[in-house]
Amino acid sequence: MPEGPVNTLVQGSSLWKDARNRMVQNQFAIASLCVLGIIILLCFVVAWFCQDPNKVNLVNKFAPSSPEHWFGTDALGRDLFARILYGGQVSILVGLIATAVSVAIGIVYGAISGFIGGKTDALMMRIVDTLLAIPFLVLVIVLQATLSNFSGDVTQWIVESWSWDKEFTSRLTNVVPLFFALGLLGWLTLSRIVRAQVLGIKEREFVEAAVALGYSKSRILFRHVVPNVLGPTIVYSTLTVPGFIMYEAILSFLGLGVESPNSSWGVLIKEGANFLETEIQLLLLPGLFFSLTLFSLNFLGDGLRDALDVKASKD
Amino acid sequence: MSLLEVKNLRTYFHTRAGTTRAVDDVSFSINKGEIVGVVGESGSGKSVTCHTMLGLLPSPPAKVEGGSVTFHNQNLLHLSPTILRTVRGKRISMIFQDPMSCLNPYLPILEQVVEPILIHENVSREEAELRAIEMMTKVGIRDAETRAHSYPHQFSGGMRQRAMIAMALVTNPDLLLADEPTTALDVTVQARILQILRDLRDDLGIAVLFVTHDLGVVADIADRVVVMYRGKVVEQGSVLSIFENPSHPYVKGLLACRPTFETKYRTLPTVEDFLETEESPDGSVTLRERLDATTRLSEMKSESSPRDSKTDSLNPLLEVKDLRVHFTSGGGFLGKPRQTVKAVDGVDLSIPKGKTLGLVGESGCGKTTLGRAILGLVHSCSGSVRYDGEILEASDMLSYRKRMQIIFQDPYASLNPRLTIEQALTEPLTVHHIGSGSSERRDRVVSLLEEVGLSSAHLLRYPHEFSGGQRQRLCVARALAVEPEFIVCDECVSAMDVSVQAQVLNLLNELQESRNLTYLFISHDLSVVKFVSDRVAVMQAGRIVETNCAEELYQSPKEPYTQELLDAVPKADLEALRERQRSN
Repeated sequence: MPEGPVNTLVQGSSLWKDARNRMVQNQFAIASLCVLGIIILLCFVVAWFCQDPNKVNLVNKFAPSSPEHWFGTDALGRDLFARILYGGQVSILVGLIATAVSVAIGIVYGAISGFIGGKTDALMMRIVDTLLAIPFLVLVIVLQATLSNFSGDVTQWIVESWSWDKEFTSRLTNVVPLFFALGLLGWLTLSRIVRAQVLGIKEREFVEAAVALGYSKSRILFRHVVPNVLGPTIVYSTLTVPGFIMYEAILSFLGLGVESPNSSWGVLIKEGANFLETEIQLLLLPGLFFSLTLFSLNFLGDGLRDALDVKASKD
Repeated sequence: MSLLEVKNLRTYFHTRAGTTRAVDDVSFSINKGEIVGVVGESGSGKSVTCHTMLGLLPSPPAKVEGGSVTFHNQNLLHLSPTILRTVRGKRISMIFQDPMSCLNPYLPILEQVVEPILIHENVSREEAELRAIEMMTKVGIRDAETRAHSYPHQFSGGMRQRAMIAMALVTNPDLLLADEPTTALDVTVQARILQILRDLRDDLGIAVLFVTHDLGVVADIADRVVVMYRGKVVEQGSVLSIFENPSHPYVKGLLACRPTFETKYRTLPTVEDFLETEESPDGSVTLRERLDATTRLSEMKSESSPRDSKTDSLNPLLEVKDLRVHFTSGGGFLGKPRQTVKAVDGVDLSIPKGKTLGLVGESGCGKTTLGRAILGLVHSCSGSVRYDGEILEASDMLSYRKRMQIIFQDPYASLNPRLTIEQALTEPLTVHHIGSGSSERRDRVVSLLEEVGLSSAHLLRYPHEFSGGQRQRLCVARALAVEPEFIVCDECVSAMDVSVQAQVLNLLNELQESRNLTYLFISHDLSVVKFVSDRVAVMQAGRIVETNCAEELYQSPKEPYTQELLDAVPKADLEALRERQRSN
């Protein structure tokens, strides 16, 4: 219907903006976001002001909570609070970096596979099937071992060329193979989700209109198709973050993840499990942080799923 | 005493965004053996009325705020769910729009037709099956005894709708609620289904409440008509009186804005020409008739010139020779036999510059594939497309993308929901290096929007903030951005209400005149094709069976198939209505 001669620009509300409005109304999701924010703040800011998490004090082992050691100390007299925060750095980074790597690969791989279709699609998906057929942890362990050699060289190089502290550097580089091993293998399911979405979007008429308008294939794929599959992808990826944190915990529990004396939530839970009968707080406190993070991420994922559901905003 | 009486029915939807008065004080009644048509455009509340009667609406958000539905001295709205269930399917049955999704794909047809009898009556299975087969024969399913054991996917659309009707009528209900039962069907199938409904009414004395958006269908089948607009009944009466003497401005507009075979003028009147709506802040709407409506209508009729039918002498802009598109399926890994579907099977056509070729045919005849094959959107396996004298090659299609465009059926799916209107309209300019600099491109986009009847105020909005008609205008604007000479309109008004359809058709006609555009207008609607086209081609099973200039083709069709199509179109002219009145 032709409207009157109004010439003021009306700012439209994009689907993203609508989603944000719906998100803000979801109290669970917002609460989860706050909890996550507090945990991240603790791990990455407050941790710098804590005591050294690796400082051994055998005289003061299994100390109860005190003003000096808020959460008490562990079997070697190390401050548990500091260890949980430092461990959180590793666990959260594993979750975020591995997710970022896997999302990046998964989107590109799945989108290309679905968009090109035909034999290319069949081949690309059989590769995914093959990788999915091998137990995930076995692959991660093999890949991590391969990357570890490489990371040793990187540590050497950083220490020599920038004369960084060796211990500090290796604490960083030691966990990097783990991040990437998880990320490089975690995209498999995501790529299938993206591919399925792309197959649907590809048939929509605006894509055909784009072909008829003479747009290039890559423009159509990355400007018209991919933005429309981001919704489900984001939701799925928030749900994979807890998964990656769990895998790190499992690997560390098996002694394959973070190396002693450094900590991660997985390592702390493993250590705590040794003193299950006498000093249960060593297991419970890191476990509490761990589960809080997982719960929040899951609630956040649910909230995002509801918010990004475009069906609700159509008409 | 009428069979069903709806009195002051009000159904509101309460959502977070506010309250929608979907049905707002609706009253009408149906007598035994009567067919009442409820007509209205999308959102007028006609389906909601129907669903409210049987308590089929999800609540919340829907809530019946007042009124009554009296059926056999019972108020259906106050019945307990258990008692209501004995009414549903037994005394009042319902058939739906989409026969594809209304039958359970996992059960044989017979199983589904028998089910209502077994639920509502205490009879043996054998007897129920006998009755089911008898009813299936009655609704025109041939060899019902053998075909009853088929599954829904083995039935065609028309057959499925017949099975649905059999399922609804097998319990001998008193009232059949038919919610757009023929909308998804081809005209020839629609004509047969309407005939079946009429026969059943005569045989069984069943009353039918026929909900539809199509005035032609109503004129064809109904005894009385109830016209709904924005949740209210604006007019009701016998078919003849409504068509002969509409009193409400909306009904006048609705009747005037649909093109018929007799329409000679080139600009269709729209509902807005008749009706002024005023919305007050509390959501209530005041309707007023425009004072100048009648004069404007006669002006329009005298102004517009008939189409120039002499087109043979002009040079063709587009020439298609022996075009074939075949799709193969099967032939998989295990060597299943390949199946070839000849979607387009040797088509020749030509369109002169500045003219419109209408392409009509029923669903599955290959008309859409033909349009896409011309633009190179699907691969043709043989034949040639000559554009402006040169043969189009798949390899340098890109250089022709600027000159040939397409507008699709579904304006909801043909705009990227993540781009603003400005982005969507600027993109073709950027890709084809039209205009230099962002300010010049912006100016172009604004003038495009104005050309299609929108304004620069819409630049930053997203597609979902527009109505269907506005979105189709945006699609037209996007197609025009590259300044094409030739546009394929693929069922581009089929999904629209008649009043919106009239606006879009007018827009297409205006643009053709101002820009000298050439159209290939694909549609299943013969009246619309007649209205926009200079020449018309009739397509059947991948081939073009007849091509002629529009006037001649409709007046003296040469092929029996064309004749069949024309006969199947519901006649809504007064002549035909009076004829029906007399024969009753």
